[in-house]
Amino acid sequence: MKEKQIQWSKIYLALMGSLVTMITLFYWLTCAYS
Amino acid sequence: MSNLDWLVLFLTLVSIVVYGIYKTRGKKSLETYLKGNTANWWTIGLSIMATQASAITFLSTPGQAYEDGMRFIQFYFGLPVAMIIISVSFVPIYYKLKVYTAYEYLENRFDLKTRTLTALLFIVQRGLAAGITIYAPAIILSTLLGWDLTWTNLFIGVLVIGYTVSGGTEAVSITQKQQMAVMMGGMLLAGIMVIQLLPISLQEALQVAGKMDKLNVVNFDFDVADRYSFWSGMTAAVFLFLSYFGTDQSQVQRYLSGQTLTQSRMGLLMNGFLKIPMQFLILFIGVLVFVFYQFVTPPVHFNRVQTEALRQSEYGQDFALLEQSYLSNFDSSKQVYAQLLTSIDLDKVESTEELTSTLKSLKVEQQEIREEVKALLVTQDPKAETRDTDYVFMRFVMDYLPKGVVGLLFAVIFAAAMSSSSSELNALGNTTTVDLYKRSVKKEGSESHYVNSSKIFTAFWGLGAILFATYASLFENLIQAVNLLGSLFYGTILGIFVVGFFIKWIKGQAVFIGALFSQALILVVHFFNGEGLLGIHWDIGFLWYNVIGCLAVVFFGWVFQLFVGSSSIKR
Repeated sequence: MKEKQIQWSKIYLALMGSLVTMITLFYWLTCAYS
Repeated sequence: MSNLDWLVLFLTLVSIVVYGIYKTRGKKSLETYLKGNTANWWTIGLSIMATQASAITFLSTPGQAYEDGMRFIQFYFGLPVAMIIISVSFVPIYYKLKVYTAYEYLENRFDLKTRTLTALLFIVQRGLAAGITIYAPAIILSTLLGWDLTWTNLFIGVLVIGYTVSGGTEAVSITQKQQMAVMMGGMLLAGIMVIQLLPISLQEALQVAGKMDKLNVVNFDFDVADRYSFWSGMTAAVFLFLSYFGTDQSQVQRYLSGQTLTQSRMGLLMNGFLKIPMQFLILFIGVLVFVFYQFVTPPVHFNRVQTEALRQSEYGQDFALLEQSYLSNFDSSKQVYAQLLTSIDLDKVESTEELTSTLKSLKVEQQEIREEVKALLVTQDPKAETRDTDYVFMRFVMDYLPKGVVGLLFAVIFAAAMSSSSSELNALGNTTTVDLYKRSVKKEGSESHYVNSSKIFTAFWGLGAILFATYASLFENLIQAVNLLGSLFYGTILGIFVVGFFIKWIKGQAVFIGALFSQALILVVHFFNGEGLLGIHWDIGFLWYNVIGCLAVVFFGWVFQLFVGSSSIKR
């Protein structure tokens, strides 16, 4: 795995995307079962 | 515990230690002993996670969810953001300068005194915390297993010292891989078993948990005094995680052990992806245990040793009466739960609300009985620790999980204690060697001399941690003070690094004075928190100290550089 071959910006975006997805799911859990 | 449990517990722990020592045996250069330099990205990722996951994570977190619901998860929302920032800006600099410790960078950027000050802050804080990392779980485990506290401390401490001294950073990383496998495997198994043991379906369990406010995962209300909200997680916690993962040597050491810069960055990002799901799993297990105990009689107090002592004492009669009231309260609430589930099933909104309100009143009564039991415990023994949330999960495990799994879950707790403790001792040994001994005491030694010094310092900190853990119960106030130390220093330390990385024109003298001013400010903010000073009132959660400390270093450093720094530089 070489530094140049890795598209870091895509990995960072994926990480932020997973964070947003998790928060959305958690919010749904909070609202759906309150 | 059964013989099978003891076998599972000892085999798991001893095999990890033996494997760690065996795999890293042989003579090492200073580079390989201190840095390892052999870890791939997933070893680094697991090592970072194992360092942060202490035994208290697995003992307290389910208990916290049992009492307070899942809102604690919001604390981790800022972690992925911090991982990206560290991956982009901190790690490449550490790699470029080929440093052994994070504090080495500070001499390169500022001066020796800033490096030494920051290394000393780390050593004081982590040196004391290492004792608590052993003591906090040992006191709970010794109660649960009926072991002597000193022997429990020695058992954890000696195993950790053994492989950490022998194999250095590489041994810590290798064993943490196995320890994480045990931790996550054990918790997943526990989660599956709780679901199987529930007398209702998972969907109904979620409804019960939701109605009793245990699924309060996200809260968007802004309140600086509230430790766990979306906003504090996305702002103040980012600063805490930047400081912990970016400047605390016990974490920096983990990713400096990577084969390459890429492996280190990937390891950090792996932690960013997996940390929140991991915490969610642990908290969710706590919520499921709460639901379980709404249908199966819970103990009135989860520390069985204390309640048994109370039962045998002159207050036994009073305790029995309280237990009876608790039982009758439980029977009433169990009936209401049955009605609630039917009501939800039939979609009767009004009746559901009424029943929920009745249940909440019964819960308040239940809590009052629990408080009376705690008061009785203190009357019987004024030194008694009445908080029992740390015992909730393991009491459930011991009472309801099958043979073998109980041993595995105890192995999870011991493995977690060992994994976080080994990182601390490893980092303390290396920092003492590199930043103090090699830099300021004996500058011209051979490689083997420094490797041996690092081993001696690691063992020294390990023995110190055991000693502290053994006598910690005598200094309850000291324990609280140590827990607080991290929050008080982290902001300032982060501020020094932020100036170093991002504000190039602020020099060593200015940042040093700025750090002292910032630390003084944090101490004032802390000691007058809730009261205020000079007519100004404030009441803020400790997480915000990280933000204030960091920004204060930048501000004071900036001011000092503008007004005084330039003249001293010219001289």
